[in-house]
Amino acid sequence: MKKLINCPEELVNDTLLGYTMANKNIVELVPDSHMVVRKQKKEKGKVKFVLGNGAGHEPAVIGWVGPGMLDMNVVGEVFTAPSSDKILEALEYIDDGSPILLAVQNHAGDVLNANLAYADALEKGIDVHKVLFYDDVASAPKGMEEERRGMGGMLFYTKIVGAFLETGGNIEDAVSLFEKVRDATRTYSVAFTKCTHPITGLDIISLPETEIELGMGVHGEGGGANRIPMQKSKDLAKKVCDVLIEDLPYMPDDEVLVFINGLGSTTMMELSVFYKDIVEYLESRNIHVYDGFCDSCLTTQELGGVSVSLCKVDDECKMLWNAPCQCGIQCKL
Amino acid sequence: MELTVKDITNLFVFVADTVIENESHLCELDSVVGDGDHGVTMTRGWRAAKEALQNCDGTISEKFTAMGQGLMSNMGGAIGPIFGTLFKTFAKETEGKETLDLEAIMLMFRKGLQRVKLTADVKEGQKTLIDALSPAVSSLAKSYVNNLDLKQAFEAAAECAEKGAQSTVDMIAQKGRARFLKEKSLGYRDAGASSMAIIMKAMSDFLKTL
Repeated sequence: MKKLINCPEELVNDTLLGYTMANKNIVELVPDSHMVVRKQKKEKGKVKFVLGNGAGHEPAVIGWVGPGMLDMNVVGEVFTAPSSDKILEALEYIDDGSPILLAVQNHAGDVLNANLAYADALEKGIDVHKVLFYDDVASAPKGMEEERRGMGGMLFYTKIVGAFLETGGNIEDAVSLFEKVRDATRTYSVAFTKCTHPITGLDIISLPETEIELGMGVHGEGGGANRIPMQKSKDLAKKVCDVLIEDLPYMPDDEVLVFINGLGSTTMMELSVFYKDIVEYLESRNIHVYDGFCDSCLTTQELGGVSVSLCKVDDECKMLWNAPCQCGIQCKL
Repeated sequence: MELTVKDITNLFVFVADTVIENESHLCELDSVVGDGDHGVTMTRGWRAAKEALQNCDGTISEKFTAMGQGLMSNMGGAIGPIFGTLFKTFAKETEGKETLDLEAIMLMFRKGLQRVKLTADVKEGQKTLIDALSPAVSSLAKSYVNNLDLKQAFEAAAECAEKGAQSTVDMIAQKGRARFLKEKSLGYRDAGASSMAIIMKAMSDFLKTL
């Protein structure tokens, strides 16, 4: 394994320290913690927006913290949800008497710890509201959406709900808006090449040289269920879009946001080619791309591959999508 | 035979050391269907639990509370709340007790199993740690009814935990990340169940030395 690491015990700490140093005008690390918060704090009275997740997926979601996005990211160990007491500590830290929206990605560890922290926070009189996100069509069949994993589509709710809360939106409407975005969002991912666990050095996933895997999760859990030969970008764009379109379904004349996410080692050149092909295919199906984003924002180490997320938008979502924001993934210079 | 607070401390220090020795074995098991770091997580949690256990100068119940807190806080993920709940339940069930006999241990395990199943919303047959813990707890109850001693009871319970862990090979995962593999999870032993079997075996091995 060739990774720039000092010692496994300090890996997450070092990551958070370095990232907050490199983005010091936007975020800061709360001393002796795994809590990344905005440099420019949101006013008291406005709903605070918090998300917890395991490390190893950078810039997710430390790079999604900032004005118009998240107020705080509480980070666990590598690929491990933060413990309930860490989440509770985070909620207590950010609590200024205003409501808190705690977004939870649907993974067993995230849900268990968030539920425990949520119950403890309520008991302590914190006005916390919990919402669950799921968007990955590969992880459970249609009709069982609540069983699905939370994946790249979280960018849409982070941006849209984040913008809503920045302008002082209330908690009840924020929860409804979150659910509207979630229920209009679908994600599907494809893995190309292997990646290794930064602590164990073991392969999380290995793939034959000429094969790719459809429906891979963010921890490489896929296990060979759906392997096909490597495709041309256009052909893969069609395959992925067909799955997404059929699932919601997205209809002709729908307007959508597109998020093409690189899983770690896929180049911006490839992401750009794929973005073009996705947009062209959607347009050929009369699904109009209102806007989109294309970068490696939610990664699994050096995993090669892409995830594609679509979100059907109305005027309210479009307005909020266009609202200004500042965070690591958006503001690179 | 009754275990004192000193016996309980030595017992779980031995368990912690055994878990830590198995770090790479548990990672390998997890790498087939998970992300291969179950051993890292268990080691992190049990190192903290061992330290908390040794630093706590209290009753049996307080020792279990310290361990539960150490495990829960340091492991994170789904496994943290599971082990945290188990040991916090042990703490609650042993309040006011200066020694533990088979009856007390059987009861705390039985309650612990119930609490974990409730917290994690999991039942037998879903390819999880429960598939090792549940048969071990049933075995402890049977041994108690049959008037076996603590050593015999744990020898039998460890065997049942091991059989239970092995039975996960033929199960389709329905919880955690492995569930996304569906039938592809067949043929592999669950890492969490293996951890539980290692813990029960370590308890049995230690009790034999008393």
